[in-house]
Amino acid sequence: MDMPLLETKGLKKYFKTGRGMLHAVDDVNFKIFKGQTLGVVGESGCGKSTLGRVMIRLLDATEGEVLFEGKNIMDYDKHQMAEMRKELQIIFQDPYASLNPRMSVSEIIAEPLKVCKIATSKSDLEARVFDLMKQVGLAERLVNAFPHELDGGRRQRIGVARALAVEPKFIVCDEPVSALDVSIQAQILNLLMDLQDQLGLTYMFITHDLSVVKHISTEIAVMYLGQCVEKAPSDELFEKPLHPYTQALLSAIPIPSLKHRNMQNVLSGEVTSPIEPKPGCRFAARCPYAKPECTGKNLELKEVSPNHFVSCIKFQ
Amino acid sequence: MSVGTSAKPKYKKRSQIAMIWRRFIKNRMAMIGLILFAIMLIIAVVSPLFINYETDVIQQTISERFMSPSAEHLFGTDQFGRDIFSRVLWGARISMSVGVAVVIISLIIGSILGAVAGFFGGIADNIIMRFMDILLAIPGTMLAITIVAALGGGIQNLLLALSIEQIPKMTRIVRSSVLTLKTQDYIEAARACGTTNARIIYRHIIPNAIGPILVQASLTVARTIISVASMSFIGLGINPPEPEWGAMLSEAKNQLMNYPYLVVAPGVAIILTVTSLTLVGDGLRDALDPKMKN
Amino acid sequence: MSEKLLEIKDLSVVYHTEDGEVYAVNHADLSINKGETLGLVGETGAGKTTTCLSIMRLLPEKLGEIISGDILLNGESIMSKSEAEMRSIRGNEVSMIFQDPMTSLNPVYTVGDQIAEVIQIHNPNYTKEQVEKRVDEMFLMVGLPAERKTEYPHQFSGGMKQRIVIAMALACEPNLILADEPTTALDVTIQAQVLQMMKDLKEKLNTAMILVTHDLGIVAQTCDSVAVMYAGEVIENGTVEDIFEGENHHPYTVGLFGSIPDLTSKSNRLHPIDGLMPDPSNLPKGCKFSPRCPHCKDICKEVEPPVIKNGTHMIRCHLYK
Repeated sequence: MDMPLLETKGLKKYFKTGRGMLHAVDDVNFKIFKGQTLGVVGESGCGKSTLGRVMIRLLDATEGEVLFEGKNIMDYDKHQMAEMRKELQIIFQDPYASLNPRMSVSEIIAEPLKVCKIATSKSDLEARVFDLMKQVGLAERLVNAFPHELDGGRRQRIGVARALAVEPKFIVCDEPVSALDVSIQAQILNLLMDLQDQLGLTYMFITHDLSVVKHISTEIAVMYLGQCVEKAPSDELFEKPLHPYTQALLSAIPIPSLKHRNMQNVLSGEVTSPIEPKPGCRFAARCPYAKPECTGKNLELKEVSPNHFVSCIKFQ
Repeated sequence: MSVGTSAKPKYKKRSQIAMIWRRFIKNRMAMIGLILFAIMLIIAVVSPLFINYETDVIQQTISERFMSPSAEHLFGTDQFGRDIFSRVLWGARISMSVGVAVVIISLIIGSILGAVAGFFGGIADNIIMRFMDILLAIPGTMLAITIVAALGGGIQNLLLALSIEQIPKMTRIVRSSVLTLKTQDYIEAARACGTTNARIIYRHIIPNAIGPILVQASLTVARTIISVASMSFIGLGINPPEPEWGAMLSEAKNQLMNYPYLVVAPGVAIILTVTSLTLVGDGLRDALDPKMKN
Repeated sequence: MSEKLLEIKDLSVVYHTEDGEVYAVNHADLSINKGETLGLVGETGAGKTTTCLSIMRLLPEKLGEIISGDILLNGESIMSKSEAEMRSIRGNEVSMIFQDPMTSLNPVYTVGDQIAEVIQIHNPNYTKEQVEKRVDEMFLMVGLPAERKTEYPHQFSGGMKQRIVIAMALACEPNLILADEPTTALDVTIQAQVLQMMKDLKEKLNTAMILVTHDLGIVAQTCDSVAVMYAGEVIENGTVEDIFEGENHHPYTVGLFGSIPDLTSKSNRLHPIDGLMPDPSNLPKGCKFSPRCPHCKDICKEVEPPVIKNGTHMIRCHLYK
């Protein structure tokens, strides 16, 4: 089998808080292959955004490795990391906060080109900016506009162009469409998929919205309180969800069709605190099938069918 | 298609400063403030052309004591027979230069300290901010009085005292705006493509922090002018016979019952300068907000 | 036929801003029967929230103005009501739930006090014990333990806060609830909990509700009728069956459905609507959707589309003349 483009091994990220250690990412292992998309799904506070940032080393891991093309980038020094930055990029959730309000569209897109010294001359820089704008579907006349003059969809396109500027291999998409209106969401999702086809990009797509992730992902990882509880190829996860949490998430999505009316099974309780979690299944407190054995012992992700991993006592 | 190779840019760049200026001139109160301040600044700069410091400002002419306002002496004369009009104009030079000097000193030191504290956080932040807290715990005027009393009068010590009074305020403003800016996604995006700390500070943080800093600066000038006046009023600022506004008020206070017009000119001068600067500061705050419409 | 609770006729609202007139709602017609849930669907800037604020007569003063139309509550026009009369209608007859539960509660009062206040205002002759009893009932009703009423808003999670906001809205048993994107700020599993609770309560209390949302899924799961808004106009209106299973639709409604990722299909590409919402201060002539419409004809750019009615199903489009 090919070497994965990116692989994490025992990745952990803890934050110190007043009430103890917050386990934002707790022992996450997965592989992402070139040209594929790993969807990471979970509710607020499950550590998915932290995971995205640790993957491209915007945050340093507490423990564990992130291997890019087989090499652990957590060991890289400043200079190696600066080179590495060209391969790893990120697109943010909030198209308002992610663009510097004092810079025009062209300045924002040109900035990474300047920082990474990619453009060879001023005219090359300008040509690249226009090319990037065309690639993400921004009209040329907007080149000197400022972010606050544009709507959310166009702003998000600027964010995409900025990430593409350094010609990365891997992009973390941190909820890139959740702040947008439905019709605009679809435009951006299509754009991201087209770019993946054209440029052979690899994505990690973070979202709380399972319906969005199905369309773009090859594989989906479901996270709960810092841990990956289930991971499977996209279609399989939707057809045969095994973990009770995945099942609950899927059934919670309101489906725009009358046939599914009154078919939701509603999960009780709320997400518990990620600070100093007790050993055992972290979902047990809300799980409709919880048994006494669920607590006390940590569970491993277990491969129950090819490429379908789940961490639940039912499958141990 | 290569668009960028043509010599003439197809789309005109718009300068931020022009946009800010357009927003500023739309604000009527701010423009009144700016015009008022500009007039006083011009007067302060050009006054030596028609006022002679030796003969008009400090020379005492006993025969001309306490003359009421007239065509020759627009605001009358004081207890030493000096022309109040000339003295007030000359006083603008002193107040303005002290005000501007204090702002420059506290702006430079405060910005560096605030930026370091906010950007790097941790121990640096703790040391700097605790020291600033100590300075802030002492009432400003008392701190200035103590410094001047300890080191002696004179313009240098006055500048020092007033700057120390303003530095903590400036540091706090800079630190808090750096702290909020630091967590913005666009800073993270800049880090994600390997931007150095220095570039992040001057490309992303300074342009966005400049708004609150400029507003604070214009208000600091106003506050300093009042501080200079009050220090001089109690005799610890600019010493006679220099025509400082506060010193003039102080000298006039003994004659207040008999010759009330003595306090009008320096008093009005202080009020006008401070008000105009406050209006400018408010206008700047609105104009510098990038989200405001043109 | 069931009784009409609220009727909006030809409502137009304008905001007078520094940059000119913003036409937020344009000749909107809506009606809702007692005990019914109406889904008001549309994207940002479609005029959904403005419509709700008009019903409450809570448009920002001096800025927002109702320039035409009438709003009838129980057959009585609220347009001529005095401010004092409106105050007793708000809360008693109609109450509103806002999108963000974090900012709609006052952080310095306990949640119990905040609910008690609403009850006291509308029932001034209640004794203290009666008020407290009612607060406990409300807590129970929205599925929270009554002993938590002495806690402050920051001690609750987002989903719980939204339950408290709902308890406040229901405290005086209004006939109509205006829920403005009540679950948008919540996680999916919590959203499902809150929606389920709202559905149960509505049935129990026979309250009518206008549910403002951009999520067609929520509409399908909870509403009896649907109105789709675009650029301040109601462009399609009907029962949920009309909208989700009917044959003809406004091209915008079709576009909205195409934009949602479909969990049941295998196809990968979405079919979004091209272009952007028109600027409400400079609306296009004729049909407001014509610049983005795939079926746009010459007439659409000139003439406002007629109202086409087919039983309960209303579409405003030239296509179905």
